[in-house]
Amino acid sequence: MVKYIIKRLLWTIPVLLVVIIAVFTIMYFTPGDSIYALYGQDITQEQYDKLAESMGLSGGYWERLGNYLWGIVSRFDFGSSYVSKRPVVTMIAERLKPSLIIGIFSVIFSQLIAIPIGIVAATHHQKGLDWGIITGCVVFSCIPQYIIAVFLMLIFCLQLRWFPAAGISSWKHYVLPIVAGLIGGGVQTIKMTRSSMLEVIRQDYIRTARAKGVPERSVIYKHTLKNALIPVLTTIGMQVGGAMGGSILAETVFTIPGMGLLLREATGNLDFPVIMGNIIFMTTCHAVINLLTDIVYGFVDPRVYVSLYGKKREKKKKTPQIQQPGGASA
Amino acid sequence: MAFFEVKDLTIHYETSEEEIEAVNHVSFSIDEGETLGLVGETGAGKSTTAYGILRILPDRTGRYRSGEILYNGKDILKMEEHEMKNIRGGEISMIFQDPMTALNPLMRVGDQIAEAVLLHNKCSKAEATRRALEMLETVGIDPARGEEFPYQFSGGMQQRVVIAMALACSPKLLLADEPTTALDVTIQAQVLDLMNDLKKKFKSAMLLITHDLGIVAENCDKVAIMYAGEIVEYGTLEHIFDNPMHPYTNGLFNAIPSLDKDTDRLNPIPGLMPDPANLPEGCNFAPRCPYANENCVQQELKEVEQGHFVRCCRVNGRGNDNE
Repeated sequence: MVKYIIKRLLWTIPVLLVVIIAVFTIMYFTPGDSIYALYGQDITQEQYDKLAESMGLSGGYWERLGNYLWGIVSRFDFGSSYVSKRPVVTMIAERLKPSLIIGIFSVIFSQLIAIPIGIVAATHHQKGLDWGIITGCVVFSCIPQYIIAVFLMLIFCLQLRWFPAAGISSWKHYVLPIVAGLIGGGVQTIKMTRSSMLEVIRQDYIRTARAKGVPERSVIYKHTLKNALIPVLTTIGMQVGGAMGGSILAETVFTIPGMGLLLREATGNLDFPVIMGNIIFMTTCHAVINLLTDIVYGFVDPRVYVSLYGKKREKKKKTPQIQQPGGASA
Repeated sequence: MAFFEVKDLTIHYETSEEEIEAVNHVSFSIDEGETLGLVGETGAGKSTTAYGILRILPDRTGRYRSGEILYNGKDILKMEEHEMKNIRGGEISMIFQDPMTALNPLMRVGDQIAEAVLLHNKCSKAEATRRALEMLETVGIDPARGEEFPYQFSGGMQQRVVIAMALACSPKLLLADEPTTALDVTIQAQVLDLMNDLKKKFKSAMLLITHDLGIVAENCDKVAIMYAGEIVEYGTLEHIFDNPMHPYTNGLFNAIPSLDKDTDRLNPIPGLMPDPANLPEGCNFAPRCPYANENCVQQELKEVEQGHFVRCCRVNGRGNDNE
């Protein structure tokens, strides 16, 4: 298993390399001049050349790409922001915490709420409750996250005054961004859980379980749910990966100084090192989460375990042995 | 005295578009230790009958329209859910057609058998596991394989696991729904022998659902021939094999190629079984029956000799015909 994980981690290196080159290339050819964007159009050619030299903007495509890659490999240096002149790594590290708190909590809460709702919808298939849940899902998946965020703010900040509208100075500040973040992922998980449960409930082995007298509750929670959660794991993994990078919209609406807001500011300023650092960070998160998802898969599904690690999963607890042949009769 | 009796059982599947008449007025009885063969084509309602007995029909569509299922004189259809829990897997258990999909892929096979034991016996988990492993040994699987998962077994071995699970609580009645259809011919005989041995060992009766008359000849005491949801002929093995009366039963026997005669072509029953959502007026078999005429009307089962029933208007009831 360790071998498998190391192999997978090594595989992320070429992936990251391709992403870095792709992002760099796109940024290189993006129209717009960062120097004019920052210092205005009135600077002289002399000033311009000096600034270009100091910001690492002089030189051709290959030279700059080489410098960028060498900086990352040799010094873990992703460049410095054009605006604040501070290293990108430090800036991301500063902005990571609020985004992570909001992302992780909204994923956790949305799964805790959504999976039971999905189960309820599946067990009430084509009855009133199921129709209600499906309608709710359709409605909420039609409303963009920033509209939800604005409505939450209108109701809970301006009308009820339960939660503050901006900043991160207390836990209360985190409540609304988490709520805004969990709705989108929650709707996705509800739909996935429901359809996956309905699929599994039709399987022959569920009928076998019923035929041997397993009570309906255990049929649902023991036999169906475990099988049904395998595809749900994939969506959860994707949501976690996405949540690590922060949400541009929610962070903008609630003025959360996180990764999303950092990316938005950087985009406005054509602050290329920050944008690239951000994207590379998100890619890494996705790669690591994908790896984690696959490892979890292996522990849920023994067939996947074998295909991943090439050997069977051993049983941890000791199984009782048959004492003597013909001892107790069945 | 029959301990298990199905009387006038009618099961329909109700969908928004149509009503599928899967099982119509089926009656049969099984004595202790006896094997009844339920024979018919695909779609004749054989499996539905078995699911109906255990009340595991699809919730949303399956409907009981009439009848009673008497187990030791008590109607299964009127039982409360907690009583049903003891019937399912405890008193009556089932072996399924496709072993490859009948086992939960995420549970160790030993645990799946132990679950059945635990549900119907007051015992500790360790005791249940021990009994499950014993059952595995009984069906000819190394008990050490109890901690393996279903995907590690071949189809024949999986069917043995299903049999072990079904017999783990020594049921009084075993419903075997085409237990060998999905298996290789060489494995079929092994599995059937095993089932017969265990049936004797646990003194269970069996309802053997099949479309293979060869299997019926070797394993059954009584036979019910099912066509389009109805039993068209019912009697002992000798009645059906030595003196088949219904044109459909005759057609089934004629369809078996003979080794003695040099035939180039098989001799099937022409036509298809009617759509169970749209059964014909009168006799269901009339459209395919070589003897059918305009006088063929819906028939009741008639007793032609002691214990031999036929549903055909060409056959006269007892007293008019032989004897």
